[in-house]
Amino acid sequence: MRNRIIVLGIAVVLGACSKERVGSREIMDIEVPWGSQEDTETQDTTQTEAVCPLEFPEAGLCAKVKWTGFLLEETKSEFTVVFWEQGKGSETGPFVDPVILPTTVFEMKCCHTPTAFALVRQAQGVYRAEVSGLPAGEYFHHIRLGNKANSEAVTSDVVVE
Amino acid sequence: MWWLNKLFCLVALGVSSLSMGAACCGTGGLFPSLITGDDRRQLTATASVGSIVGDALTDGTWERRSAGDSESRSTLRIDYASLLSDRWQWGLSLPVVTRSRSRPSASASALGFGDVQVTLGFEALPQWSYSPWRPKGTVFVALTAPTGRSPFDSQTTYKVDAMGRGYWTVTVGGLLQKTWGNWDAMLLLEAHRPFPRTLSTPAGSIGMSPDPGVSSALGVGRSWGDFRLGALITASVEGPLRTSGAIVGVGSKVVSFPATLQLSYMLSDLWSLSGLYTDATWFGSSNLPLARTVGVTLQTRWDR
Repeated sequence: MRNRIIVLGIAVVLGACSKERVGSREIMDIEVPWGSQEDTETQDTTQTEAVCPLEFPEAGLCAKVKWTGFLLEETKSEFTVVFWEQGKGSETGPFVDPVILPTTVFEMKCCHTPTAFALVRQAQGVYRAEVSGLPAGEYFHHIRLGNKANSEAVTSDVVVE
Repeated sequence: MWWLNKLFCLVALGVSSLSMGAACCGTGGLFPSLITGDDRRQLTATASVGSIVGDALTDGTWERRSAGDSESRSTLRIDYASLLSDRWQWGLSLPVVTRSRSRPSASASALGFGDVQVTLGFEALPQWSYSPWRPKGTVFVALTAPTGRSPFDSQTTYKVDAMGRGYWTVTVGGLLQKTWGNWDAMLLLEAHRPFPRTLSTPAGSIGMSPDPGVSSALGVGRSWGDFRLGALITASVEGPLRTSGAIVGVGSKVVSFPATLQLSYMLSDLWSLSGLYTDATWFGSSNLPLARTVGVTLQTRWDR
């Protein structure tokens, strides 16, 4: 059984992070290395992406998602997303709360069936969500600032095994 | 004409079994409960057990489930149909479903109601006398209520407590039947429209609007005395799901071609028994789990 979490949209950034030796921090946060062998080959990501993995240009914010554990159909998993001001922070801080409460939705690619989970504030700029019950498959993972149809959102790819 | 009625009774078991193949994996084509013989009332009980053997992907290929991944769906469906007048009838379908799934790391099971359906039918082409070419025809309209929990509302591992589709659905269709000696044929066509719903989530409201779907079934059979051997193939297409609001997107359609073999026996003039096997893997499908299902149907009728 493959024991990996594939976060395709974020893996590009993580390849760059490893250049800055921030990758070891992520390895400490989760049980498996980020991405796959192929992902580490994309280490020629721009410096902009390295300092702002998930960009919300309208809100002037950057964010980063950190997973804890495997993303499996049978078990609970959780992730933390941290926010900072563009140009004034980094994934290590200082963190800021978005003006609009962030939300998260997983959208199954094949059928566009959406499943939302609550993002709970843990500290300033730090939000956590517990994820469970997602059928195995490929998903779009949306981090959204708000719950309106036109809320600013960033999307990455995840796979539930 | 008694033999014609008996033949229609045996064929009617085939119509009742159509729901089994269609309902195995969440397609919307719940075929209705209809009186197709010359009876006043009928009551049918169908018990089936299906095993999910693989998953058809959106590109039309399919992947077999691993040896340690076991999923089954058992259904007990009660169908009741009764005449309202000489040519008008109504029917009711009540399914009770058990689902389970077991993998090396976890297992889950659930029991609940599926989607209940109410049908209104009209014998548009009555069989008042034998005709070598004119079929017997019934048209119908049905309303399916989302009494079964939908996958969107499921809270369990593997979503085993999802017994229904989650939408109010209107179905219109027609059934044609014809016999030639010991041979018979049937054709069923239906189109259905699930009504949109809104999902309230922590991320906001999401509009869910599946496109309409269509199904058709073509069956042939031959009778030997009180026995009938039949074969049936069903084609079902479910339109893609369109989401709006917090998430905007269009999914993929669901296509399935389950095939059924059926052996029926007239226990008496008013009782009949049927065994059937449905396989959804023989022909191409896409975007749904694939099952092999065995079932037994018992039917009793009341004369006019």
